[in-house]
Amino acid sequence: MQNRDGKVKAGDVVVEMRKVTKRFPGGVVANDHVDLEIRAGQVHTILGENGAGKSTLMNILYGLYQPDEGEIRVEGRKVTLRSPKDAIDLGIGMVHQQFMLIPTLSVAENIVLVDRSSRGLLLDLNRVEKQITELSTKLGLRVDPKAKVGQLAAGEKQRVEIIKALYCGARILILDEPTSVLTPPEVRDLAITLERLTKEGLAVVAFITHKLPEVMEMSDRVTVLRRGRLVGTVETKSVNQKDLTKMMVGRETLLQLERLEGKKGNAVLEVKDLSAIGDKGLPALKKVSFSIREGEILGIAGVAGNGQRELEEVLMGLRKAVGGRVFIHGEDMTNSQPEKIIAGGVGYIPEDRTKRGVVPDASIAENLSLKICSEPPFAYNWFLPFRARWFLNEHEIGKYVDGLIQEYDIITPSKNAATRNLSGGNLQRLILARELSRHPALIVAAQPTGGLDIGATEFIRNKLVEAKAEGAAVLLISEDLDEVMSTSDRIAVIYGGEIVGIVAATEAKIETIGAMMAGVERMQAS
Amino acid sequence: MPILKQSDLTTVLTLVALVLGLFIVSLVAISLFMNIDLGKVFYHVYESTVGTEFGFLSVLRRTTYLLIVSLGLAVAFSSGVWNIGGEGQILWGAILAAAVALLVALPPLAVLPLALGASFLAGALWGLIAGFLKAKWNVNEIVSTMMLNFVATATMTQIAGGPLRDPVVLIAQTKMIPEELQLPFMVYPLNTAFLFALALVPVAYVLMHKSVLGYKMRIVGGGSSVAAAAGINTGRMVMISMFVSGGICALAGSMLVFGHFFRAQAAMTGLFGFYAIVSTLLGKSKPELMFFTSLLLSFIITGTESLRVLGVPGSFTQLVVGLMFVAAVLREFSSRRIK
Amino acid sequence: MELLIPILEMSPVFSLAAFGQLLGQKSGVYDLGVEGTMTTGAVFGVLGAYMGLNSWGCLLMGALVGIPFGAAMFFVSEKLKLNQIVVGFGLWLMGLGLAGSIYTVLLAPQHIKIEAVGAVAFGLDPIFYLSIGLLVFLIFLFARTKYGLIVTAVGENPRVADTAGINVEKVRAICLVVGSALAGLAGSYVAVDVVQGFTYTMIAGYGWMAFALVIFGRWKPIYVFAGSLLFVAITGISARLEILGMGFLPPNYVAVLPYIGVLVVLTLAMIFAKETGMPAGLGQPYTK
Repeated sequence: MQNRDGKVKAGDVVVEMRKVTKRFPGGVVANDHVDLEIRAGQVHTILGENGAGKSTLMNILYGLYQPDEGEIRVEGRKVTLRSPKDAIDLGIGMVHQQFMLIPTLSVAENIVLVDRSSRGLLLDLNRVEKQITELSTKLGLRVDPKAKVGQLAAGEKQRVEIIKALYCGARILILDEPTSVLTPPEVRDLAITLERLTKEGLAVVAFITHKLPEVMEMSDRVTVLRRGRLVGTVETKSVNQKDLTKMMVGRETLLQLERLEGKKGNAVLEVKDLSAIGDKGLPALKKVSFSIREGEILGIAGVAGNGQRELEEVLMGLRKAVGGRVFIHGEDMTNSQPEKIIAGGVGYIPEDRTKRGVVPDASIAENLSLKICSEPPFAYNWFLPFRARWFLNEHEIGKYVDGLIQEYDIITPSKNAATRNLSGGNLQRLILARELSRHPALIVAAQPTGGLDIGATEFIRNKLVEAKAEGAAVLLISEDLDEVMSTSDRIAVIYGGEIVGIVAATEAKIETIGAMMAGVERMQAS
Repeated sequence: MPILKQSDLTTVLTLVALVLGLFIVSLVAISLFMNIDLGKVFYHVYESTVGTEFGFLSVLRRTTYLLIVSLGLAVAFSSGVWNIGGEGQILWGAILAAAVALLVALPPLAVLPLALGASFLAGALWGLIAGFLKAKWNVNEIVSTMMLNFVATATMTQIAGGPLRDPVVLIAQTKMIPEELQLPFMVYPLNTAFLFALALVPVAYVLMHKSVLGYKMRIVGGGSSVAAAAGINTGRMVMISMFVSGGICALAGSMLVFGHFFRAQAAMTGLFGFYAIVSTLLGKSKPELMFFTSLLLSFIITGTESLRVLGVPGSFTQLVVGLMFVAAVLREFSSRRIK
Repeated sequence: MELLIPILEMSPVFSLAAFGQLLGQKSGVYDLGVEGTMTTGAVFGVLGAYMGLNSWGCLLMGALVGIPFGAAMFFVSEKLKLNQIVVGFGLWLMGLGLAGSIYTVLLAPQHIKIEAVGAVAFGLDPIFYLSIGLLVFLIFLFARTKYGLIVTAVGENPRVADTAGINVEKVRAICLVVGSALAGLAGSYVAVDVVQGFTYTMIAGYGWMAFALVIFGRWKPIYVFAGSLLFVAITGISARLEILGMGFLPPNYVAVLPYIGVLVVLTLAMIFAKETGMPAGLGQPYTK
């Protein structure tokens, strides 16, 4: 890691983004005329909820996206970043959430891959290892150059990524949600690392996060984005968490969907101390407990990556729970097979529609019949003289499918058309139709309106509320805070794999929820 | 629900055009390479396939076996399992068919169904090995089925050269099966095996498109995460799929014994186990299309084989079929489809 | 023991082809056409003699014909992103067909005399020493050079390699072409040095064995080499067992022991080993 010529002093502006705008197809304005100044020797945080535009902005800085409007200046000079290569040449490095490392190779080997100076034939791993050790001691980044990356903990892998970026000459380091994969002690280590980095050689650090305590602890300045727009940039020491929450979330009025009151009955789903491990080997759910009654919608609010996906999977039997219990109608369904769980009366609206929700190559009719295919009258004995459920009763299935298409307003030329051609909204209607028409006692809906237009969104929310009114228990996992607040009866906030609070919707205040989502507040167990 | 859909027909026609195009190109190439008059080449191909009654019947005869194997492979492919073990499964079917035919002393009407049943079972179990390995431990089925092919060939050589051996000849082949068990000819050289193959088409169709089981298998083939999330036991489906697929391919083996060779030996498959992959892929694993794609492939093979009299080597057939794989794969290029 | 020399002598047939496959697989691409490439290589070896080349020329012919095979494999599976398995099969059949055709038409009628290169040291052929050299080279490549690291990276995770600035396509193309050239050389080796001729059934499954050898050897050059010695021993040994009176082991089965071996090893690997050594990106074409 070198200083170009030592001219840059702490406090100097090294990166300027002016009126940067990025639009995506579908009318989404991810960044709306955002201004940003990053100064040397400082840790600068970008704060915001989901969809605020944090990652997009940083991806633009790293050359992964090109802005539609606006300009970027690095060390005073206007630049165009067409690809990460351009960014790296300018001294901008990025550590993604998804580590770009090869697990079967050692740390040194991974770094050699990006090392531009070693053009020679022979691998001089010793030299590289030495350099790594030097860097790591200087910066307090504990890394064992000989270790195989696959065996490293997330925190160590992150350090490797940082070193990798520094190796390529980064003086401006972008870290994308760096703490999402770290344990608390690792977070503290990261804080120390950042301190050293900023002191040493004036590396500038930009930091994307939604976790307020970290922002307060680690950053010098904070930029808050909301729905693509810049809310403001402040010095961390001049604000407190409440101020930041307000900036992050700050809405006074909220649309309240007409609440159909359901008759609340017995508990359908009871989750007690549920724990699970995420893909990276870290705990993703930590003793999560809640329950949902008949005729009630429990919304799980939270920023993406706090355990929602794992919760969805564990409840549906797609991921192993390592602790705690799940009871459906009083029956212990922890770690049961999905077949059993579904048979127990659970409807599933997955977050990943195209991978988990439908078979893209099958017809609409075939996708709609996924759940009913084994049951009479849809399965029957056709010509066999004995009673059997071996064959598909196309007549009955056809009637059933037609009914669903009509009721759920699925727009398609025919029920035999391929599913892959459906728009997102229609796809979700299909999934909803398939699941809700079975009148399940429990509905697990994960990000049900993600990426959908207003019409589809409203339709789906209404359907869920209807289901609730008919007595279903609904678990609504959503990153859209508005949705959670307007649709749910009770709201639970998930943060870092834990439920940090459950409130009744009528009593919930958006600042409180926002604060819980950002890790600032925590309620006593309810 | 119409059996042959509009979009299918267009795709198949495009493919037919592609396939025939490649075929003509290879014919031109061979005529240039070997300095044979192109007209002669075309004439022979024509005469041996559609120009004469005998030719056309030969094409149909070959279609018989290709069709059976294609149907078998279609079952596997549609569940997302690459069954490359057709050769081995055919051989097992042949082994059991020959064994029953030679060893069981019962009237023909009893022996035939018994032999077919045994054949099916043998091939099914053989396929199940690979299916089980995939379901339980995610062992790559391409490698496992291919390896099993070799083991099956060794078994056939062993048995044909051993217990069931025909003492008269030097090569490893079984004795001839009794005359009363040999399938009668409809019109020489076409025998009743053809009808058997045709009869299998609706059976396969019903299995794959009308039964609950077939539906579940296709869902698994379409994306196993959906299947799992929908509550289908994907491992079980994979095993059942390989079981059925292996069994059907084995039936081709038994038909080869009863209808063509009247004995069993290791070289009897004629590489159908591999060739049929082309017709299955060309037909998108749809049973209703298998007859046509098998017919097409048979036409090409028969036509190419007929060129032997002109001095064209038998290996040329492999070259042409290899080229057809390209056609099959180009179809995937145009429409992203699963196996 | 006197069995050693014949085993070593035959080993390049497997080891050369297997090393080629290893290279391709390490970079993430299956080459299922290897059997076809070997057969065509064999025919071209004889073709070389027909054309009047000396032994080395014939061997070279085999290697050269491997190049278009590798290029075709690369083009269709990486550029067109078509199914590697089907393409491989197609190339296999085409290779077989091409080889057989060329032989029947051009070569069989002629009486072609091929001279083996002949033993150089310890009664072993220079090609054998080449294979040893290749073994050493590969071990060195993957253990100590940046290129080996690049190949490994491309095979494990092409996306990561791409972000590191590596040209994934170029790496895969080179590996496939070199790999196929080696397969072709293995084929011509059989024709020139071992059999001094060509028969249709010459490369009976050796290509598949080479393919399987890579898996059997857990993608490590030294194990692949050891495996090739083992496979030679097994395929050659069946004849001898009968003679030695150990006929209880059906000779046909002894011949397929390698295949059973692959199956067993692969299964055990999938059950137990967390680290199979298999390149994680094997079989997937890379899309940016």
